[in-house]
Amino acid sequence: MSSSHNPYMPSLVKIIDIIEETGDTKTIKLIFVDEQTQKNFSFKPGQFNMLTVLGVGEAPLSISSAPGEGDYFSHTIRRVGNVTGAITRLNVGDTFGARGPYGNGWPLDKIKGRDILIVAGGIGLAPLRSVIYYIKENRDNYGKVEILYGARTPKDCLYRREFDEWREIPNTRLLLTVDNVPEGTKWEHDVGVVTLLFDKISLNPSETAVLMCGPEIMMKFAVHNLLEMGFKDKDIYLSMERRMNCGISKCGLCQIGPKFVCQDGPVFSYYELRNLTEKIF
Amino acid sequence: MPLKNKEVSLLLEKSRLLSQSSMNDFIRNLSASYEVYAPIKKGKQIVFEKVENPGEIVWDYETTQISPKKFLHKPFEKLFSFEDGGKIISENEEIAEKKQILLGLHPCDVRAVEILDKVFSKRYEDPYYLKRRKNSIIIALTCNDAHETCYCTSFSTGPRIDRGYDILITPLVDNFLVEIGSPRGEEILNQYGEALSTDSSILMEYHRLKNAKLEVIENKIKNKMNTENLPELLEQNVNHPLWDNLKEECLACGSCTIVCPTCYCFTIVDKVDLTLKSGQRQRVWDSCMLLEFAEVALGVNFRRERAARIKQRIYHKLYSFEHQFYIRGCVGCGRCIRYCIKKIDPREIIAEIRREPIEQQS
Amino acid sequence: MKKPSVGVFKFTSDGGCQLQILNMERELFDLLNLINITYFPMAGVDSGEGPFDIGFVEGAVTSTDEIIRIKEIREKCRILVALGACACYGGIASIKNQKTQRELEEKVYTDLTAVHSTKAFGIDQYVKVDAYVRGCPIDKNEFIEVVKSTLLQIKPNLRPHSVCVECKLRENPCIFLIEGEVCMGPVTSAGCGALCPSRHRACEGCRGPASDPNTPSLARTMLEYGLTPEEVRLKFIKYAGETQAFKEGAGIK
Repeated sequence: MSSSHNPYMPSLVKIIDIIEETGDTKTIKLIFVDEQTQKNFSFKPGQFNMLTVLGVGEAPLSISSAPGEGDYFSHTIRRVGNVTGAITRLNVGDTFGARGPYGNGWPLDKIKGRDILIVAGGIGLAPLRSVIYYIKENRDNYGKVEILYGARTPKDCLYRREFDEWREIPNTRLLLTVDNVPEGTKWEHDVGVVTLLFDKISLNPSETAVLMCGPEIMMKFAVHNLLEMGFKDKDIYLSMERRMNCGISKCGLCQIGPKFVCQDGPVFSYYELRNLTEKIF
Repeated sequence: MPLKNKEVSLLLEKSRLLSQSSMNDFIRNLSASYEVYAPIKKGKQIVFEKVENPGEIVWDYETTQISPKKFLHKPFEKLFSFEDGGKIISENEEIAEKKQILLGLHPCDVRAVEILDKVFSKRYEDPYYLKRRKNSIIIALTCNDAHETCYCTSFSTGPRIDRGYDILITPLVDNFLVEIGSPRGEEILNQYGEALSTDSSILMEYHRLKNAKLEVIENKIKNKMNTENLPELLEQNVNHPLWDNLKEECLACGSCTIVCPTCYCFTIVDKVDLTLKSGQRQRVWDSCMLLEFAEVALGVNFRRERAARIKQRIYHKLYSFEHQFYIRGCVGCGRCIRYCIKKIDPREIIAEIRREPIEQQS
Repeated sequence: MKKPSVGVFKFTSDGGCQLQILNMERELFDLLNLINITYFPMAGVDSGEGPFDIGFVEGAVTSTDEIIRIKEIREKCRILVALGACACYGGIASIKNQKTQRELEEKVYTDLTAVHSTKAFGIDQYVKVDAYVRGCPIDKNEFIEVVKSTLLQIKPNLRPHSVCVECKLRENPCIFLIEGEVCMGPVTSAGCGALCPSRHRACEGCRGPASDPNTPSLARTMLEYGLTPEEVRLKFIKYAGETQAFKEGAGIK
């Protein structure tokens, strides 16, 4: 199924595990069926793959596993469109297509030695989960870590079973909030949008790099609040979503100003974004 | 500026003169080994199509609605087909091995191909475009005239051309001045074309005639785009009120991008047959002027505003291309003006911004 | 996989869209491998009252009886598809909405006591619609696309951009610019392959508004081409006069 010189050709991947995250979201663990392809597949946190279901289409999805996690990679997939719908209907052992990885990923080398503030909303936690485990594996390379995560309801929180493990990473705090708590649901954390958690940030803005992913409206408010708190636009990194059909800066769909989100991004500093000819927020 | 002796001899070395009948023979001979596409009359329009008979070729055409990019970056391209069970049938054997000749491209269209070459070869190589490109010989044609919508001189993409072609043809008097632009061009010319004359004084006279003609054309192009500091100008006028005014006029129909010789954006779609198991993956031309272009799941649209889409088209051509591919994205062919029902004119857009640029805050 | 059951229902229309289904000689047998048509009176099939996996409804809703019936059909169909201009937005029948009911009824009927006609609307005036197959008549490829995507459980790929895109791709001479006549193509949804302009006929707008249609701007151009405001109005109300975009083009507030 694979072809080395044609970048549009997907390779066959097999589902080795499925974890139900929420009502509409699953994490699926994958391996390339071709052993050599799997062996050669290396990626950085924040990169993405183009996932293919033949006859349905192709879609860009962030890799949610960390590079050192195991001999597999995972995607956390929310059922929102044709491809994500088709993949979430598959079972363990089923195969489909993937090609990648694409994009720049988070600037984890550049921000070595700094404190890290992670801000995620909804499915936006997926590419940041990869970062959390990367930091865990390379704990000495980074300072304090604070993870702020907002979801719609307690049941919509991704990776709930992993939260305790995250809290046990040395020098790491996890702060949670949800938009609302349905009656009868147990919830011991905050209620409200993710920016409400900003009062609890204990990191020094001048020593911190911010890694953020979530709905654009959330990122807009979060960025503005952080700037007011003294964080620098060059230290705030955002993973952007745009329509993408190729992943290799050919189809032209994902442009923001002169940037191709698929190749120049998906991660940009807010400094880069705010100076583009196409205004984001 | 008079040419130096060395330049003259080089120019004449690469020049031939062909009579009308030997030109026809040349094209007929080429048709035996190549698919030859050229401007021919179809109804009320001139279109690039396969030439059956050299007599069909319209040498003095103005422009075509769809540019010859359609032979390199096809409006509908099969990427691969797939069968039941997920087996992908590689496209590699299927991409046309057949060699093609694109004949009669005006300088602007030749230079547009140069732009597409950059798009499809930067970072990742696009096998579909590049294979077709490799198998294509470009025979350029000097313009017969300039028209109201022509502004190639603003980008130095015409009417003079010094690269991008294998052969350049200039019809003059009753004959054709033929210039070689590449070894490949020389090879086919030597193989298939019979020169009327290689006499240097005759050739020199034809070059003089050609030059005079080009001067006339250049002088006729009055309505230009002032491209001085264009990127800086656009950078500073993102919020110019003109963009909002344009949205009242623009029909957002997408015609300007479909006819543009440098527009290349595409969407990838899967088409299954009625087995629901087999089918093919295709790419089809898309357009940033259309509402759905920037729409993602759950109906989120990053360019819902028509003004944002108009801006994207103009900025991509005149600003982003330089950042992305180190080349301007417009060749001044004028198609987007000519085929716009509302006559929205990039020259006028730039002129209007220049008349009243946004005051810069320091 | 069990073949989904399909019903085809007729409301106020001329049956042209149903005929398009029957006209699909090449594809019909392959289609019948995929679906089980259990109700299609025009094709002589009436083997049940449902429920149906997919219901295709042709025609506008133009009477109180039809309002009741479309609601019943909705109940019986898991997926409901509006078939053609009439079911999508009223179609030709909706031209009558420009006059009062009484005025029209008096013209047609002598005894008005048995007439219970209402304004002509697309079916989504009364029920939720899952997919729209536009056009007068429908394009068979779009019909097939809807069937296929329903079976694949995906959204059909029916792009709603202007007819101009398809018209340019076919390298047609522009009706406005080359033929010198007015055309609804710039504001009308594609999917027909620019059928009419490919035959040197202006687009009539039978597929309803394109995505982001700038109808006021097109109306201004039509006036510049010499049409009277009344002629422009008639262009916009012919098939989809009940849609907001075409109302604006027609100058209806």
